[in-house]
Amino acid sequence: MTLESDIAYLRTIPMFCDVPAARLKLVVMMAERLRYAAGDIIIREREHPDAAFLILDGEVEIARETANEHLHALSIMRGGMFGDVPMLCNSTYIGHATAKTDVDALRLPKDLFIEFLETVPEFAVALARDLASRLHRMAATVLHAKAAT
Amino acid sequence: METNFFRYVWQKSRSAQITVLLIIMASIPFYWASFDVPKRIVNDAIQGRAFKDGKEVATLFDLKLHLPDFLGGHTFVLSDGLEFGQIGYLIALSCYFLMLVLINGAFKYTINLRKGILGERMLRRIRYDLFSQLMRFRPEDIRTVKPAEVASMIKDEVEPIGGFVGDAFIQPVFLLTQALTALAFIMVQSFWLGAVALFIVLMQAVIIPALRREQLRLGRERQVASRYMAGRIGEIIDAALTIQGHGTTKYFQADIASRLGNLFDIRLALYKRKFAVKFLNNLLAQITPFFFYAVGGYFALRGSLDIGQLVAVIAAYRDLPPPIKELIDWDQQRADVIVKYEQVINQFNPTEVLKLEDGETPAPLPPTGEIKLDNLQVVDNRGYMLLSPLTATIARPATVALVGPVGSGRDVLAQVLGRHVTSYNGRVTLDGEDLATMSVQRSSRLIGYAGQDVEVLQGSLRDNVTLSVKRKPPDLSSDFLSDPERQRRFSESLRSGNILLPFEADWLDYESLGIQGPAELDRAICDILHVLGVADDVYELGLNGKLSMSLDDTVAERIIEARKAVAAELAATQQAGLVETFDPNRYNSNASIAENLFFGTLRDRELNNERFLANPYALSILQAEALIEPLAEIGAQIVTTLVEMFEGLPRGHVLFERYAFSGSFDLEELNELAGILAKRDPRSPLDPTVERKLVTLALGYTEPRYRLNLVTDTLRQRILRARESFRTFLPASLASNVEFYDPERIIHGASVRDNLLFGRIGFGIPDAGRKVAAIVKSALDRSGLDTEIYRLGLDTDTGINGRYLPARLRLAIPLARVLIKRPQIYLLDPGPLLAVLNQPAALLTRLRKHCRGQTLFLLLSDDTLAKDVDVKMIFEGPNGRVERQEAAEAADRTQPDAAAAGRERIKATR
Repeated sequence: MTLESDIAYLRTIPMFCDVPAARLKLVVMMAERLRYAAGDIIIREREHPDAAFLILDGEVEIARETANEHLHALSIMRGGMFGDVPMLCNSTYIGHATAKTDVDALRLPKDLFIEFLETVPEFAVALARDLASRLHRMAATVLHAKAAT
Repeated sequence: METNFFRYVWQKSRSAQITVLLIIMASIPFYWASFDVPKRIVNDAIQGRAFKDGKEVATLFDLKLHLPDFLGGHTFVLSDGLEFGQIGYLIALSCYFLMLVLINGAFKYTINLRKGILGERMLRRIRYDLFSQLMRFRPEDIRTVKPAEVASMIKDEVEPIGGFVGDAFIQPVFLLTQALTALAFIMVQSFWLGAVALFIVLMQAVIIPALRREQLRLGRERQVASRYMAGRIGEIIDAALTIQGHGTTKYFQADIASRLGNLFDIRLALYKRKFAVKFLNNLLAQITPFFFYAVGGYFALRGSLDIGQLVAVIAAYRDLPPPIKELIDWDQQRADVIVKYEQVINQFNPTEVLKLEDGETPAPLPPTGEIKLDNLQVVDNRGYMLLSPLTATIARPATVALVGPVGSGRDVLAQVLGRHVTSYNGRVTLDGEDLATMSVQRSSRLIGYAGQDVEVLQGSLRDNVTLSVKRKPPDLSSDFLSDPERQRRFSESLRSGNILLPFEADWLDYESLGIQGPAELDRAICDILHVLGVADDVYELGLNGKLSMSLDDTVAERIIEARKAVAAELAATQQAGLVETFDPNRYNSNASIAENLFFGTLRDRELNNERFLANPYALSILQAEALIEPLAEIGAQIVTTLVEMFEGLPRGHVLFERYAFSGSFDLEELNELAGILAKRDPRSPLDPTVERKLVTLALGYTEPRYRLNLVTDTLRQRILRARESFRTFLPASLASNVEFYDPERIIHGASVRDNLLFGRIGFGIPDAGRKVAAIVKSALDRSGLDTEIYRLGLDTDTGINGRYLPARLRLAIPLARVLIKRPQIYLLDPGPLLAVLNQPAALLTRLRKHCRGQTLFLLLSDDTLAKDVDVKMIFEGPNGRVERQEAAEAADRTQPDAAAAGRERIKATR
């Protein structure tokens, strides 16, 4: 629960493994550390994003609300980031994010997030790398699905 | 205003000037006597003339009144006097002399004091007159005035003028009487010595000013010549390469040499004058004693002048030159002040001024009537057309939409009607009365104009909104003047020709607000703010408003009740730890270390860490509980962490400022501290100032926010113990200022919101702020504290030009000022407010509802919001045309009111 333990954890995930400890400390310390109970809604569909979230512990489910029930739920695990994509491209959240278990998360408000991108090059690189890997995975999934049909 | 300085001063301060002049006259005999006594001391006492014929005693202070022969020649003995021996005689005369010195000093003191007071009063009057004059300027003249310039004129430039007022008449008279008394005294002793002194004084009075005038002229000439030379040198240096290239350096050297020569000549002449004046002054001062010794001594030897007289003459002569010198100075000052006065006055005498008042309370217009624009045209001073000729008749009451872009003719027309523009061609009449000749008092009651400009004066929000109705001169009831201090200020205002009505009194015109008195004021303001859709902002401000000591008991009780309701509500929500309540026996981990130590607030100002430490008592408690060292250790860890975090960041300071750890530390300071800490020898104690800084840092630390894991359980225990002893041993001098957190008592100086929460919002809980706000709001709704919250909101200090106000509220102020004074013709530009409101159309509906039965001009930038108004005036650039609405006819049938009937009569020609 302390700053040190959070940093120790973040250093183990691929996104931040190259970021120096001091910079990581900066990110963790400036962000808000929030705790959600299982079932809490973290972000709502169609809202304008005001922050990005980084999961320190627990699991978050992103789902789109449809007339009957949610289909195509997407799970984001410990170490994953969400909310950053709509924030960066100025669109709205595309689905609800719900805490599936108890969740500990770092909340990076929009202006702080932008400030980090501009000020901390290591953070910008880590984020770009993370975005690229997410894109890569998505492309692979799409291609895989195509190949399957 | 009077352009002649002396005439102005004499007109405004005649009686005071005469009083002082009379005092000066009264002082002459004493002044004279102070010259005369030394003579008697020397002749009668020292040389023993009073004891000449072997007399043992001589009489002093006998007073006899001789009537002239034609009245009978009687002698009345007023006092027999006292008899003295020679020593006693000497002492008595010397004491008499001392007394005269004191009396003359007292006269001088009184005269100077009265002169000073007179000057101050006149300064006050001039400043007030200038300011009042400014208030009468036409809008066009006001716009050309540079505020800083005028303010400095009223503040600074007038000051030496005011200082001179006391001197204007009194100084020359005073100095002249002094000089003449001394001269006359010398004359009486010996005509020839007097003639010599007079001659020398006259020479001084004539020659020295003449020489000085020449000196001043030379000084100016020197300034001009050296300015030219500097310019020439600069020019030559700019062209130096060309000059070198052409080999003409000698020519330019000669040029400068000749200028230097001229300058030399001027300076030489100046020096000659300067030393000539000095020489002459010295000579005149020295040569007179020569005559006195030589001529006076001769007369004394001849027996036509006695030694006492000679001594007295020399003493009197000592008093002669200073007044003459001061007179010369006075003359110079006079020339200076007259020029200054004329310069200032010229700025304040425009060709035309407004008529402020009619003298009587203006009568309202009848409910129906018409506004007529007859060939109205506005052209700016460069001939640029602002409003093309426009003729229209609008029947009152009506709703008129002035539609057009910002800056077009719609704004100009509104400014003309709102009297923000007074130089126009054509005529504007209200029921046949020419707007141009209307007094400001009358037009301001009939017409309310709110344009794009937002002027917020420093003061409370309430004062700003009610600015427009502070127009009822307060009654000067007898008990108002019963207070001696008020009476003094009143009579002082009277003497300075200032307005007599006290500023602190209640100027509000409740009648025109439509309410009974002050009790209903807040209600009325809030109604207006509801119309403008900004009442919620005031409520929000009220929640943040600080509770003062003067809080009503019942209100305090209700706040405590609401606090309990909030606590119950918080307990009922599932979310544990949303708010961590203050508990005297527990460490509040969501509050800073300082707050946990102090566990209360200061009454007079906010508590901050430096102030906390600066208090010797607080420091001694920290020392007694041995907290300094652990806190310094925490501070050191914070420094290390922060410096590590921000090290080498190109824009580190931007992030650092966001990181509100301790407002009083900047990054450089932290780096410096880190440097000291790195070099520190762990065995030796820290430098006290460094230690103090570290403790200051630590005091601001809140564990869950920064998560450095620095607050251990043992530290908590010790802080709790320190809290206890802090409270127990609190010295009486502090006790009145410190307020400890108590669940049953109001925290004065803290906001309503903090009082209701009575704790700190927990860190790490998502959406905590919003959730808490909802709970607080519902608790307040039930407690009936609304009025109190609005009151606090209206008490909010607006800051310079409203910078402490939320944007919407700030933009609403001009409109609120118009709505609250309830004019008969509203000219509103809701544009800026519309742009920031969520439901702009609803604002217009509310405005129109509020102004029903009166005439409303709405300035709009497009007509989608003005579908069903009676009359539209469409503006493109300076051109305007009047449009009758087709839709209006439909409205006619449903709403056959006076406005609709009047609509039929609208004619428009262009």
